[in-house]
Amino acid sequence: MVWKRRIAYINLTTGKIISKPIPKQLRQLYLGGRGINMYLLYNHLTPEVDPLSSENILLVGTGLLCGIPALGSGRCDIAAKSPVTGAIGDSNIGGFFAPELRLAGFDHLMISGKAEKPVYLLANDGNIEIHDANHLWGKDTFETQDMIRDDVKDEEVKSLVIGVAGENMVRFANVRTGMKNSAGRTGMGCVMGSKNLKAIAARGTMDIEFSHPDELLDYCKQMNDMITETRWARAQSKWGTLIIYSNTNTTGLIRTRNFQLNRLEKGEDLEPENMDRYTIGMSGCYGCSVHCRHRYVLKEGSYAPIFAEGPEYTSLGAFGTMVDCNKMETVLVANHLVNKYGLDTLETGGLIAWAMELYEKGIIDEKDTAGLKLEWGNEEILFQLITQIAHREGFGNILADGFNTAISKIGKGSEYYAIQIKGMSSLHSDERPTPSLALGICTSTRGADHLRGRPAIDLYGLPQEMLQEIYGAPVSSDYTAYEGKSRMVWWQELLYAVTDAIGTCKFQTVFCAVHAPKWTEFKNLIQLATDMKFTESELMDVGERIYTIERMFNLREGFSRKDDALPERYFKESTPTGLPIAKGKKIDRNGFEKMLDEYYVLHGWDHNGSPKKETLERLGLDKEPSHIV
Amino acid sequence: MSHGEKLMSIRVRVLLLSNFREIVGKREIVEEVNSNLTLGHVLDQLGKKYGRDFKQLVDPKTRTVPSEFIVSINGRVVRDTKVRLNNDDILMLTIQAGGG
Repeated sequence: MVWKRRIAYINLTTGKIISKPIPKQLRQLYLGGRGINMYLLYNHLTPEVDPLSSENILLVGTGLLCGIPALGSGRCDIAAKSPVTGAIGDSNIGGFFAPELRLAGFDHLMISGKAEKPVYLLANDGNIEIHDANHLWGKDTFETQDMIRDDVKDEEVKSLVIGVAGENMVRFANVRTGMKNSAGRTGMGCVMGSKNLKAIAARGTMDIEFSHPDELLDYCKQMNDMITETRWARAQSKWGTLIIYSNTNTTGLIRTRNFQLNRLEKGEDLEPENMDRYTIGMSGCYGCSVHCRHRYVLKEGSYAPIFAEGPEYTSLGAFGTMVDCNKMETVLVANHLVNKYGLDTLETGGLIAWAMELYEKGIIDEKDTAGLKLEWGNEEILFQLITQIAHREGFGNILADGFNTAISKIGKGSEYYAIQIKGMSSLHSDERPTPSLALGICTSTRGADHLRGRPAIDLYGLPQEMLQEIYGAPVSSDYTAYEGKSRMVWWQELLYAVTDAIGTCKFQTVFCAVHAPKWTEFKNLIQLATDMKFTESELMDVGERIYTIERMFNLREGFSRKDDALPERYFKESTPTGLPIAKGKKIDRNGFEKMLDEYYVLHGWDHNGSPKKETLERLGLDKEPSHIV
Repeated sequence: MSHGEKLMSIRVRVLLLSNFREIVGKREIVEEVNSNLTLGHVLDQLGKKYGRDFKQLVDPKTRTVPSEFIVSINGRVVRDTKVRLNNDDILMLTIQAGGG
């Protein structure tokens, strides 16, 4: 039963490990995964600590529904104070690790301190041990997982690992598992590196124990049918998230040459059907009926042979449009390199694109780049910079510290060209024609990001009555409009917070398809799996509570309304190309500020974005930190 | 069209994405239609040429584009197929697709 699930406290400095049950009260307030992680982060982290110091804590949390055979339920959440932004650090990862950790008897890990030398953790059937990892240090993310399986002599061991980027404390180093899955954003791999923690491995043969297994199984079948009947799922099973590119690049909604164009000309080679040349099949995460990722082989070229998975739409932008590379093979090689080294694809591509624009504008030159000519579309430069960043070599060492530090080092007006919010790079989508998407990347608690509150269905131009039914109030069907868009972002933020707390795939909600699971289905699944009863409204309150405690964390670290801001270019430079609806667009400053005001009201926050007293009381946050655990 | 207005032939570019591209085998086609015709007429015409997936672009009862599809004219998503088309309009046909 869910009440038996445990949290382990691991102190890497002292080697002390204890575990306790997770209190029922905490489950009802925060469910699990991201929800409980955010509670723990707010309660246990001393304000203003250096994210790379031993005082930072690293949290690993499996979702409340992790392990059910539906909705890609193999997800876990990794959190800490972010070395990229100094704000909430939080990244969600799929694959097969989280169910294995649950089967090993643990739902949450709270890791503090710093090991004297490289170590890895092994969770196995109710026990956690600290193992020496000297032999793993310097190994890439694929080799590390193989070597741990060899160490334990068990092919079923699943691991969260860092690559050389994490070891070198590249600020945006990620955490990886399997061939493809990454907790990419906010530098959680950097935090692991700072603690000399190379990996967290799990192997379990225990039970998860769901409350009503037979009914749950039937309902999971219904959920899988609900997903596979959508056209979205059928397309995604074939083309993966690359399918988005056709729409966004055709319309003119995609950042190109950093932020200078909104469409990649001669970008046909990046169209999803061109993956057929390299794909040998599709694969998926635990509990997924979609299988949205390509498994591919590159047999030729200087980096061949490559056997890998991906790329996501994100990498298509990071190593395609943003750096003006228009060959699928370039993206495939770059995707493999960042995965091997353990780098966040978006941050890496965003920083390189920024550097290329600085070079083009003469703000930096070859003296700054140690001889590298940062020319658009030069794939060799792209590969070299990725490698330099991971190893902290040459000009890559400047980029390895992320936007905040690189801007202060380079100076000379370079900040204007940086497409970042709260110090974190954004997806390659160009939000100038789409105010709702622009608002979502600003209000994201973890820095510019599309996975925190993006109302992607705004692009579908849905009928007003359908939008009203979903969002509960009038919302414009026109994706270039400002009316009602704050409500869309607010609603999606709550939905994604709960999705990350139950540990299912965000794409299998009303992110991608209108007729996908949301509150009603979530409440039913929770009841069948755990016997916990919620109304739809109570579940939305859980989402509100999670989002608000994240906001409280950021406020405590000095963030405020001023940080919910778009880069100035969104207001000053119009989109130069695209279909008529997308051409000549920029964000209207007054319209944007009005949306932000409305958004704060919906959350129950004041004009500066601070939660009001009555909001804190309503959500039970007025006595935080409460230290329930 | 008002009484006495001269009927002309107009050209509409149709950009094909996802399964529509797969069916036709082209990224783009050009349709020539009379200027008094609507989006619905063009989609019906495509349905006759290319079959089921195209036919499903128009709900036969409501004459609207079902929510699982995206049909845009010059980038603006339209659901009402009674809208008139103009020369050189760009139609885009695709399906709901999100993610990241």
